[in-house]
Amino acid sequence: MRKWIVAAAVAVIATGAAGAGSGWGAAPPVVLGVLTPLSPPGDPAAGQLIVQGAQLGEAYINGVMGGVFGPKTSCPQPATPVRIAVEDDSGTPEKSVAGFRRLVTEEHAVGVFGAFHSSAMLAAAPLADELGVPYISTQASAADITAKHFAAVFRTHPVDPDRAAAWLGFIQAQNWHKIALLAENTDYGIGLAEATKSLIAQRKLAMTLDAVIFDRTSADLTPQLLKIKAEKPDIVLNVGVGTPAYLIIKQAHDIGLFPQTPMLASYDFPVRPEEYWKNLGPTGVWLAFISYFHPRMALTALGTWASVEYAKRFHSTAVYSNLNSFGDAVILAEAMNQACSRDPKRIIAQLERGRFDTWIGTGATFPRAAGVRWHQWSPPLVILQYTRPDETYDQAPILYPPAMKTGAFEPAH
Amino acid sequence: MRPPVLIACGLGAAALLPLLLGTYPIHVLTVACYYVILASSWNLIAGYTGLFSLAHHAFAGIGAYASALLAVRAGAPVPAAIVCGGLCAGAAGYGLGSVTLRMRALYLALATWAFAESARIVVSMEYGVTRGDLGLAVPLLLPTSSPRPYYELFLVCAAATVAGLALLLRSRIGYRLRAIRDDETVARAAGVDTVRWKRFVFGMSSGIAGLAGALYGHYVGLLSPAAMQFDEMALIIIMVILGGQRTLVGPVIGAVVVEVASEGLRAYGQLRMVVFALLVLAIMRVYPPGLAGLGRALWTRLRHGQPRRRYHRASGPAT
Amino acid sequence: MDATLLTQYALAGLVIGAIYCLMAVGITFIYSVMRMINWAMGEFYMIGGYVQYLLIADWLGPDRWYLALPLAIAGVGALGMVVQRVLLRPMFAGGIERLDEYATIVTISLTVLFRNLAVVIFGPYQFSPRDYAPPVQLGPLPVNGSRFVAFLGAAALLGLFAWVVRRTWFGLAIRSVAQNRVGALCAGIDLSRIDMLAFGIGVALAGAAGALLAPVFLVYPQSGALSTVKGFEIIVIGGLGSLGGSIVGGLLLGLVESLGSVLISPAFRDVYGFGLLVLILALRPTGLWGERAREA
Repeated sequence: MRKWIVAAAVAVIATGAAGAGSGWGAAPPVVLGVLTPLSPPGDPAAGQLIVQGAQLGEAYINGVMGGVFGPKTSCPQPATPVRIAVEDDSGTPEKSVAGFRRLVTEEHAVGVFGAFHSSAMLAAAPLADELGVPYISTQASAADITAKHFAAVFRTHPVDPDRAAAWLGFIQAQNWHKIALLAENTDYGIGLAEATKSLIAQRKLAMTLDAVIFDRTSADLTPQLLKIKAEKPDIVLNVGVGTPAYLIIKQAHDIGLFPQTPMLASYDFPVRPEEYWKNLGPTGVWLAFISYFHPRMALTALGTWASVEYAKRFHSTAVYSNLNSFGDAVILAEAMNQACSRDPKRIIAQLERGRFDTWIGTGATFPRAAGVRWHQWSPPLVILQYTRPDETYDQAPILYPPAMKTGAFEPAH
Repeated sequence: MRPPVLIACGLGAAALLPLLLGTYPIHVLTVACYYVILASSWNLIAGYTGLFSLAHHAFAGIGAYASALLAVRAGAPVPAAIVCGGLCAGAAGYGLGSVTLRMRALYLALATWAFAESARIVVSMEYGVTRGDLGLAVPLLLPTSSPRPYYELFLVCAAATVAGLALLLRSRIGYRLRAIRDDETVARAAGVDTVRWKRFVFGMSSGIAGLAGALYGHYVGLLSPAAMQFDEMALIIIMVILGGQRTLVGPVIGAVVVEVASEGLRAYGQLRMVVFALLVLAIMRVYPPGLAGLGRALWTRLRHGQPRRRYHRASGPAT
Repeated sequence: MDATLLTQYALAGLVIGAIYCLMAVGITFIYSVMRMINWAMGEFYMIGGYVQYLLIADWLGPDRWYLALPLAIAGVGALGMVVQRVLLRPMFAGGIERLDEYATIVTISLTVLFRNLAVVIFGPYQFSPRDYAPPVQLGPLPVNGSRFVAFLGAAALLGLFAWVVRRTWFGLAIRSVAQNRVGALCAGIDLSRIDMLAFGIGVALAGAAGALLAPVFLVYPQSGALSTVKGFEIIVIGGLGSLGGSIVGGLLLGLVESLGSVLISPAFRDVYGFGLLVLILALRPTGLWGERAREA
């Protein structure tokens, strides 16, 4: 058995050496760790998208930036390529801890990103502090991740209160009062339900919220939806991820709840046209959904590069998971360039000090702010709506926020 | 060398591994020890007693959550909480054993399975108490998160479990349990109080699973209902079958091999589970004694220069 | 509590219950012939869904779903027969100590195998064919067209199944094997052939449920998990080996879940079945209509 581990270690080192040997002289590559769910019980679909984004990040840093400490920086070191090391966290705390440990102690990663499941990320966060290696949440949204003020943990993903603020703002603007929320029993679903509830109470909004939580493995949501329908809400908030998100739309349509009652989905799954319209057909028209970007929001040069390159490589439209994971890789590289160091502790210090360009904005910062804003940078959120079959998201009108509004909410007709 | 000496040497060598290996391999071995405990205790109830329970992972989860909630919400000291967690799981197992007492093998498997699924759903839906998928942060047992001391602790626990089971199986109780497995009616006729011993074995193996789960929770530092999914039970079954059912070393070998291999093959994601499933099918179809049987056959051949007799041969269908 | 709402729940429960029945009948049928539980039933359900989706999406087109249906059912049945021939037949050929245990381990490994294979081949995405029919109004409850088709399909298949088992020579042979294997063997019935066919038919029922429900519950690698839980709860409630019990159990479970959701809380919907199961088993350890324990 020990032999086996030794053999594995040799194989790892050999692959590392082979990677380093390709055209970059003797400088050993800087390793960026990607810790993301690639097998159940995690959500492997999300993990695959995050890995694709990280691969784009690697290509960008090595190709466009000329590696870290490249020609455009004033660092004394020779330009050094980066390499991403991917590890599967299966969405479970234990595998996440094991994966983080492996990335840092065996692969010598100087920074880790790619987290999707909050419980998995929370389990590894104390380890990040202990080992002093920066750990960026790409898509894990639980408030605790930043609210616990881990020294080495950062986030570039909207926290639940951001999302709750966006949809409550939209609902208020529509003058709706009775909200029904159907959420899956995951960290994401529960967190968002709780954040929405507490924001209503905190802002003393004239709204009632009826939150129904369902088990993610349950395929028939008819009883829950019938209950919601009987209460005649003004809007239904759809907090499912992946399959449950589709099941809610389909089954709400079956019992005549949607589109008669408006529905707002909590994240941007409808932006993948080949999947959304293929699964739902005309049933999918009139859905409003939160998205993280829209072609009318100016992407940065970085974001444009990534979406063009993504289309070239994967023959599909880049989605948020791709772009945010790409952005996290680039942020780590920028921090190394600014600090002229590949020492994880100095990268952490630089992340707190510096300003970074991301795919969607310039001047992102990770200050030591109070509460959940600690080490937190949130990309902007917009609410879009599909109003005809086979529409793509870049044609869909922006309903919210008012500053970017290009259309009003259209009830089904 | 005689077996006890060999075992002592093996354990000593295992205890010294942290001096040679980095923290990551030690973490993997710590988790492997956890699975050794689960697989061995499941082997007691399913292999030796013939009660094919499919709720073993759920009892580990119940122990883990009970202990964690005691420590987090009631402020109990961690070692006391772990013991209570084991007791809770044992009590739950005793209860489930009592409910399923009169069921025949297949009903038992189905009912325990339904119990496990329901337990998982309750833990994940009662997130107000358990934090559900958000994860319940658990205080650590030792004042460090380095796996080395935990490894020694888990190693001792795993060795104690296997040794305890060995003693139990050699005692009169062990014979009673095997009598129940072979034929419950005959066992009852021969004066074995089947009700009592079935409850006992349910409580016992669930209690061990609960203790292991509780220890594990206070090592990883975070609990989520993911550990209560059926995949976890399938993994325990795979370990026991691959290693060799109804042997003491089988589950040990199976747990270590499967855990280390699944870590090593992590990069292949889904494919590794496909490989494990195919391996188990092949073993069941071609060579039921598993790795432990293979090892023993090789050992006998080396010592005596002749192959051991075929495994067991039984009559055809029972009905 | 409003009466229309209650009727809606009851109807929704019955519709879903009829579909649970297909799973339960398949499980109990295989049990009564081969004395084993097929734990991979949900995975055959999942495969049925994938075959149906692929046939419609790549070959037949969305309008000819009714042609895809028999093909999907036959395909799953054929796969089942291969599995039986390669993996399960040896358990009757001697050399295996405990049949039920062997079958349990083999079929649980099959669930792991098929589920992960689905992810490897099709990726972790969800697919869905278009609805089979436009929505139907069933009294106060608007029912989705596909769900209605699935309900009718389930009823028709169960009817056909009952007719085959009750009225044909093949059904007679199967019933005799279920009653007494040795006796049937003496009467000149080819046991291994009957076993293979029975297993094929049993999993084909699950495949049919999967194909019928593909547009309702979508097709994805884990889609079989829930239907297996339900199928098992039903047969424990109804009693292993009792076809009537499976049907009553299925409808009962659908109703209890649906009414429990509205009267207690929809959050614990999937736990009500277990509550019902424990209640019934506490009163009758072999289920409502289970054969009386006849120790072999």
